[in-house]
Amino acid sequence: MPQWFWSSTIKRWHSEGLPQDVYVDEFFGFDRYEFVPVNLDFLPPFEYEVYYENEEYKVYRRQDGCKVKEFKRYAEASMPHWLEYPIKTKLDWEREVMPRLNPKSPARYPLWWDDYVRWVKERDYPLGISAGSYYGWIRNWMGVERLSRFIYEDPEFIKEIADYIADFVIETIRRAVEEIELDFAIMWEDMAMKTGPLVSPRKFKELMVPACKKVCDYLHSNGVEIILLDSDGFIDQLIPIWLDAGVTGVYPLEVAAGENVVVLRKKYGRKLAMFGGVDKRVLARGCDEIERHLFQEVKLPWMLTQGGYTPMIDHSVPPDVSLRNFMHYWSIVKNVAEDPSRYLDKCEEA
Amino acid sequence: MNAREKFVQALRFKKPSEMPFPCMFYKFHPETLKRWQREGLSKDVHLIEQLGLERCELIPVDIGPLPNYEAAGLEQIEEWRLGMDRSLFTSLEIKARGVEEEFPIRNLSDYESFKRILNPDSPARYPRFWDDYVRRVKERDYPLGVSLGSPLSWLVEWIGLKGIASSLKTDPSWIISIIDYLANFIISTVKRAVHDLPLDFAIFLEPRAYRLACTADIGWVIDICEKAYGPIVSWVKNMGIDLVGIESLGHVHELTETWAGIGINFMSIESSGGGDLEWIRKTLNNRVAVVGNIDHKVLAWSKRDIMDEVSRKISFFAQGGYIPTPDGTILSDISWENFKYFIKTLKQMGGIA
Repeated sequence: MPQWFWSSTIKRWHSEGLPQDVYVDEFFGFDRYEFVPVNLDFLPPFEYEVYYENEEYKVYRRQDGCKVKEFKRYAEASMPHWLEYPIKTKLDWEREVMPRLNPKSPARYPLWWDDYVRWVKERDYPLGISAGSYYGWIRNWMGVERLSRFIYEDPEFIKEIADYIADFVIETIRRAVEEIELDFAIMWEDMAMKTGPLVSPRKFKELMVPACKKVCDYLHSNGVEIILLDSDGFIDQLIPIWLDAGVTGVYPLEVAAGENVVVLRKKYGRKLAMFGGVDKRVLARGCDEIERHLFQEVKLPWMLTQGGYTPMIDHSVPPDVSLRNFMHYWSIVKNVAEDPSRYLDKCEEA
Repeated sequence: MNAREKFVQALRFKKPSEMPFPCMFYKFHPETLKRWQREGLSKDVHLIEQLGLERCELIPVDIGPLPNYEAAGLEQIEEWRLGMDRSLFTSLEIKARGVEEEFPIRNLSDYESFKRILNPDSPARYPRFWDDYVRRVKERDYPLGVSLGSPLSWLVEWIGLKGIASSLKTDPSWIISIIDYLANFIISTVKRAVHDLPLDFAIFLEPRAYRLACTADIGWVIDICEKAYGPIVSWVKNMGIDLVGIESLGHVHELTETWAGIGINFMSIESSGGGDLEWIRKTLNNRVAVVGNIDHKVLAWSKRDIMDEVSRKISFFAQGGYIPTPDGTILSDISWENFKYFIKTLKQMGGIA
């Protein structure tokens, strides 16, 4: 079962009793799940370069080509200020970015790949693979504003990039998909804010979804049935589009953005698998609130009896959550998961 | 013959048929890679694969302080920087020149509190899914070893040369007690791995041993070596690992006889630090195999020089008990052209190309 934590949260918990010489996942008893180490990033990455720094912040180019200004303290808790993106023009795409997305680059696969394949063939844990991003990456490479403008001013260009990504992803992961029996694939988009998508769903469907669908079709036809998609924000308008494209599940379903796993389950039934939907903010409030949230709002026992749902905090656990509160949350989840039907009376009939 | 057989046979003084190229003993500085990429090395390849080096690994058991300390800049005043590295070594730097300022262990009571991060039973010392790792590596075709830590170098890192010197004058007993503890700590930490896996070699990693050897009283250092390594080497050999090595830098001739006497039977000897392969052979005969000893500085010179250096060393390879590899980190003064030439020459003279 996946769960993300901010490192500052783990630091806090060390002062509250979490041993410092243990694996956090093991401490809580999370199951193993892994990804095939195929590299879909820029290869070679952009050169890391610091342009300016003082005591408070630094301005630098990251390996994804973005020039950002970032606070030195509390960098984890704040977003950097993006100053420049690697794609400003079509030429940037052709000269600077596309050449870094060569599926044939030898270093996309780890050294000693055959030994890796031999190892994971007989495993007892889920193994997945990254299946790319058809809005999120493009946004990361050109910024929301520029991408939004291109969508209207030069939609063909955006479609060209999305289509290239699909071909790149398929060609890159082909060897892994053919040589290993994979359990799931993951797409990453993070393409919504609190009130809805960062792009018109109609334009998304027109320009980017065909690429997403191409990859989903490829995966499904090669036996990868589960395709999960990661997007923060309020994604209700996007879910049906993704389902049509072949995506089978979404996470982390941010409650603060208005997501509600019970509503989604009622709407989509077993067509939509879900991870998440547990409000990170509630965990800071106290044990009674946590219990109320899990039974009354998430309706955890009912959701678990339905299947296709894995409870998870709706993003990384923030540092205002105490270890005690998290342990309380986690013990409820573990108890309910053992036999959810025993707890059905604790949540109102869904 | 696979990489595992080649490696083991060479170190056991068997007549070699093929030269091993164990990647673990080739270390490249990041700046070198940048230079080589400017000189034609493709940026999207694995260097190890590109050079035709062979797999050679250490098991992923964390044998150092756990949790390790976070590096921290404590204070920065104009050109001075007071900092702390991951081993709790505090330093006051003037730009490029570091001045050692404070070490984590200054006395017995520091050591007692330091011991809490030297707990052999810390769960995170082993990979979380150890049993699965064991399944992976049990049937392998490459050499796999276990690190036995760095007892001498740790002393230098944690106490400092000055601290060691003054303790020797006043009360050396607490340093001896650290050494005793470290021997038990190392054995206890690696016990599970040695029990679960058929390992090919065990190795001490001692980059700072020469600093101790050239500053402290050599008789005392030899005594420390015997106390630190002796029990570990005996135990490792009793557990069936017959190849026990030490990787060190600098001029360590004064220690090699002691190391060999303890049972250490392969060493990395730094030619550029004064380590003489011929001297080792004459003094220790076939008791000690050698890995390394190709003077890495020569690789920055002319192709003729490289050829001469490889020629000088290759006869030792033919006798067995020697794996030629560069004797230090490959720095950015070595061109891509030169390094390719070195590997090619080594392969040709080793009878591969």
